[in-house]
Amino acid sequence: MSYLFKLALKNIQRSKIRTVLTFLILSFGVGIYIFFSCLMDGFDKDSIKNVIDFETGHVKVRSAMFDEDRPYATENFIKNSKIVIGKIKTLGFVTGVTERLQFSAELDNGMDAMPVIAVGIGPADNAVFNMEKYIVEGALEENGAIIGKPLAKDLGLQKGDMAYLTFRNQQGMMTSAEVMITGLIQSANPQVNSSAVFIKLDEARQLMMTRDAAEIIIKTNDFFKAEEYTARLRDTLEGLDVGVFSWKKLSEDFRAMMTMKKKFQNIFVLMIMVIAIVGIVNTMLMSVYEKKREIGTMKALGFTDKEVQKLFLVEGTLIGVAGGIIGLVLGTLFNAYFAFKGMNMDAMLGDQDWGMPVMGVIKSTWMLSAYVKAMIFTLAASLIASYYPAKKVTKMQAMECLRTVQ
Amino acid sequence: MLLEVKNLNKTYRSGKVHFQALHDVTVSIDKGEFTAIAGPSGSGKTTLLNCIGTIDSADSGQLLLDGIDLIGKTSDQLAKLRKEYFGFIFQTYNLIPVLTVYENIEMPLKLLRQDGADVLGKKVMTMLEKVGLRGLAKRRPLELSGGQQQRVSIARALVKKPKMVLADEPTANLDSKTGEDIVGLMQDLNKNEGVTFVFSTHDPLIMRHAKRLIEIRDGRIAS
Repeated sequence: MSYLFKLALKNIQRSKIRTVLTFLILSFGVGIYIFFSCLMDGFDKDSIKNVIDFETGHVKVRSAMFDEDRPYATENFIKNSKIVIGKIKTLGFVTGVTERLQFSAELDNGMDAMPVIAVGIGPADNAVFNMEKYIVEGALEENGAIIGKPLAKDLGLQKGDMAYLTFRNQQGMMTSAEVMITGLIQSANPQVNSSAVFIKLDEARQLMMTRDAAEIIIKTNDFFKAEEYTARLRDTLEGLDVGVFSWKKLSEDFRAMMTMKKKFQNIFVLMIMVIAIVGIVNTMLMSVYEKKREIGTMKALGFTDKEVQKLFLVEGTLIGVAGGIIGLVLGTLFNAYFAFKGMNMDAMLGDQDWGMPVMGVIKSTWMLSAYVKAMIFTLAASLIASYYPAKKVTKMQAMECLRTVQ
Repeated sequence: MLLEVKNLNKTYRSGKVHFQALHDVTVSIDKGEFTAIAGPSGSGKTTLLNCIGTIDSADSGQLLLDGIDLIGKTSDQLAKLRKEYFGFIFQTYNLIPVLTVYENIEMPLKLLRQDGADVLGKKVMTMLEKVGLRGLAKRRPLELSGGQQQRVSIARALVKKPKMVLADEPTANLDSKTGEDIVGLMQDLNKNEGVTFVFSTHDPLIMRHAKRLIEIRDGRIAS
């Protein structure tokens, strides 16, 4: 085997330009696969983080009457939120719990109005969500509101400006309240930026003329155990007329989009890999035709068909391994930039909400499984790509090869 | 008797065209012979040589090497026999261009897997000495003249001490002086080492030096 390895190595060096081109195609394919997988993994992780940090928490408690089709209807409010929170706090895995009161409204600057979601947030909000980190100007004050920067831009509002929040309260009366914009937020979740108006929970309750909460959001010590904790919370809160949902359940639509995105990503990567395989097949076939006389000589000298076949398989595998390793290095270099510097989505898409819960700088991850998969795929692809040319060699008789005019 | 060919027939087929290259050829070769198979182009001499060397297959007949019938053997069995019994010298040398002179000559020994690195190295260097190419061991074939390449080819054929060397028009691509040298070299090896040589040729030089001449015409043994 070591002799065949040596011969294969010499053969690879024969047509340097062709070998280098094959290496490049293969390494580019592997590099792109690694880079793309790591970037998408970063994208997915950021998306999940943003969904948890701005929308769902780890576990959410809603009224048992919650209507998915009218998520901001006042009928969805939890009547006994204080008792529910008290019970939740008795569980050891709960690290934070807060209640929010959301209702649909319009924000009016005196000239134009935009549909928004008013969100009343309690003092414990920071124990669950990560909002404060993203406030770029001002703070949430008495009779004030924090709105997203893009929303402020759309309505021509600045910190210190007055605006009107118009909504229907729990009793069904249309109400309008004057609020001062006391802060601006630029979060990593475009939905928050474009449609949320944060006010204090007590003020939201006064405006809605209610003592209820729309939802109770819980942070646990391990979000991977959200399903298990959800089950335990359901047991604890049994009989209180509430439903308990994990972040996974609440982000089903978004996760379905992620799955679809992954499928497209796989098709794209598969296409690159097919190109890489065609490259190796081409190189190996050229190699077989070029070396027909040599193959004949080798067979005349006593090489068995299997030994000649092995020679070509080793040659293909060497191309695969070398191309794969170069690809790993290329992928690492591409990925290093985006893992440390990140990709600025704002620079690419501005403030547009494109349906995914990510904004700002997305950093790619170091996804070990992508490296392992790329290497396994490259080796398998090289072997498959070399098999046909190698089989072709086996079928040729020594004399048939020696008669070739070159 | 080293080799016996009995009633060997070979037909080439290309679509509807059939050409019978060998007709009931019967011939025998003994150990230590220096035999030339001579005849004009297309007479079947190379076909006969290739069938003897098992790099081409006959349609019918018998081919007995040391009493073993080679007709009907599998591809792997024939490869093993070629590895152990035959050395080949080709008209166009057929050296492997990516290997050095040394590596080309060591190839049959590497295939046999009998010798350690030291013994193998000594054998190759001895052969290089015999063919007068000791100083060119690290060159590649394309850096050599035709005569030098044919010497490498001879060294490659002889390094494993085969029972029989089959040489297909070994002087055809060489000038007369170089051809003379090459024939002289093979004669020495036949005389001193007892190696059996069978040539296919229409070169008068080889025919003059051959101990035995087999004439072939239209695929039949003429004399």
